[in-house]
Amino acid sequence: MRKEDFAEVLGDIDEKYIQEAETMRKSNNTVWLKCSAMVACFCLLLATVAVIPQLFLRTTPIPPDNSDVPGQTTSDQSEDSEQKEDQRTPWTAYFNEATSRLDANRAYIKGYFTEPLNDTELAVLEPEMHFAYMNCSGYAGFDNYGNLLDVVLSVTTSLPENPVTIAITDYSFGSSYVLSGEEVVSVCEKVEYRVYQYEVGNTITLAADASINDLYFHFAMDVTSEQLERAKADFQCVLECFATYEAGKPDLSVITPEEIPELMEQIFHTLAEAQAEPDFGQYMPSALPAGFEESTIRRFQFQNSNYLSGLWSKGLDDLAWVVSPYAEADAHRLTSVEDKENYDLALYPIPRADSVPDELREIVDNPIFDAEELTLEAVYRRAYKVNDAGDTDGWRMEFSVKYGDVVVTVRAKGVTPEWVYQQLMLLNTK
Amino acid sequence: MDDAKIVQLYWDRNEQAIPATANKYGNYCSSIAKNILGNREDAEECVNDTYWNAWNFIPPHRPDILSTFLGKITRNLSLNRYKHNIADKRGGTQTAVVLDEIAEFVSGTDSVEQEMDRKELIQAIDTFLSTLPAKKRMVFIRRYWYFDTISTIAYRFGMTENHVSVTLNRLRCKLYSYLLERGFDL
Repeated sequence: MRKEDFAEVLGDIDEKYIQEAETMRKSNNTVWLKCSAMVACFCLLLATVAVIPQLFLRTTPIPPDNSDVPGQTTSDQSEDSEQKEDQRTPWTAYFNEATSRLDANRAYIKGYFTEPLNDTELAVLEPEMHFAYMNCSGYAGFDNYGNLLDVVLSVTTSLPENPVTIAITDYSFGSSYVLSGEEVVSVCEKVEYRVYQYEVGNTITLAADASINDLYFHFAMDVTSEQLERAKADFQCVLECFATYEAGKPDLSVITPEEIPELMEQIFHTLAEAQAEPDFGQYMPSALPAGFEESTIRRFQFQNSNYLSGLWSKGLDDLAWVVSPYAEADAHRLTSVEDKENYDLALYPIPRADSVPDELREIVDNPIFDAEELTLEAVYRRAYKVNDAGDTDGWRMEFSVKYGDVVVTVRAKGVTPEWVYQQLMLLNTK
Repeated sequence: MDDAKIVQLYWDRNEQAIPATANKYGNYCSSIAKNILGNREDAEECVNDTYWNAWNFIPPHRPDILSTFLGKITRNLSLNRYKHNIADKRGGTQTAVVLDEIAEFVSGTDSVEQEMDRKELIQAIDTFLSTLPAKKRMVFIRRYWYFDTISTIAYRFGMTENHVSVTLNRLRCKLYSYLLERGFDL
């Protein structure tokens, strides 16, 4: 048989296979991998809302073939400029170069909690189109009534350590960028993307904002300059995939909390009241340093937060005393008093950002001593004084002490090491 | 316009059937033709011939899936035109590459002694395709039915070009063994 004849024979195979290969892009992906629950890293800060001025009054929409943007890489510019289903070339976005960024922050919401997205919820969020390396995971954020506030997805790319983080909300937020030129909008599948490239130090952030089916999407990816070219290609692919949602999708109504954590908040107005708190009260100091006034003492428990904390002050001096459960995540900060390199500030001159080795930074910032090992000498090694015009010249210190499964963290300014040590030793006798 | 309405236009001998077909499937047919023929002029002729053939085939045919029906006509017309072109020393190199891959498991001879039931061969290929995972099957179809380039297939399926080439090579070997075991001497 000749090869041309065999090619003709192939023409008569079952039509369902021909149809399958043609509509693959629009069908549910059978090779979409199940995602494990992971907490995505994103810059949604809990602070007061900032009003972001409209710095970009003029935008230039790019037509589908990007033909009007100088220097812009275009899609296939063959004689036939129509989009060809079978011979499409990747969509390209215009990365607006940003010189600075103003972050928009959502207002702090008491009782905001998160839950990992389950398989059903992820399936709803996955766009019609995907690439083989794209795995999705993420979490949903709720208020303490169980209302969905936001969804954060982490989508892997061909750079395993550099996922694209996508925040989805029903309100506009995100960062505003100061651009070096006029903003250019990139259109993909009728979605208008504002795509940015912003460099800080050794990190380049690729970002994009878009409104898709009345939801707001913010995309972000952090890479190095060596990874930039590949990262841009992957980032564009992700944007293209998320532009393929059908009308009314994604339907976020299916995302509901499995359990609304109990929120407990109690305010104490005196130290005596706080000492009577059943969980952590016994770990509060027996008295306050001379001249320090009563301030608000707060007992808070919600999802991952569980503590009793007090803050007192005397002029520019202050004392913070926080009692919380010991967690395995704290284990890397445990230190023996014998290992002075983990906590002795005399070894690390200011600025400590330069003098403290990277691998010791967390433990030097806030070491945890075992209560039975703690010595006055160790407390002194954590204490230091600074000559700072306009501020107190008293002792400053920060460290933690472990009492079984409870940790007491002390942050003090203008309180003597002897007072702190005495109060901590008193807790040993309880 | 959905396929049923377009087909009904043909049955009603309404001349709007052709513009409706071109509007919905013009790009689809063009891409198949260009894949095989490699040049716009020949591809346009084949696509126009597709519409003419569709006008003549419908009725009596009433295809359920118009895209596949038209795609097959375009493909056949394009392959015929390709054979004509290579006789004249013209032709898309892409098609030559695809056909050379197919040549790996056919004898290349046109012997009248080789009795073969075409229907049985098609059925065997269908059965072979049914045994494949969906993605591999689609990669095979995109290459040998649609004549997509390796790079187009790689992009479509999120694979590297090397991975596509290796996959196709293995599938050709598997198909060859499969057909050989079932007595097909190609």
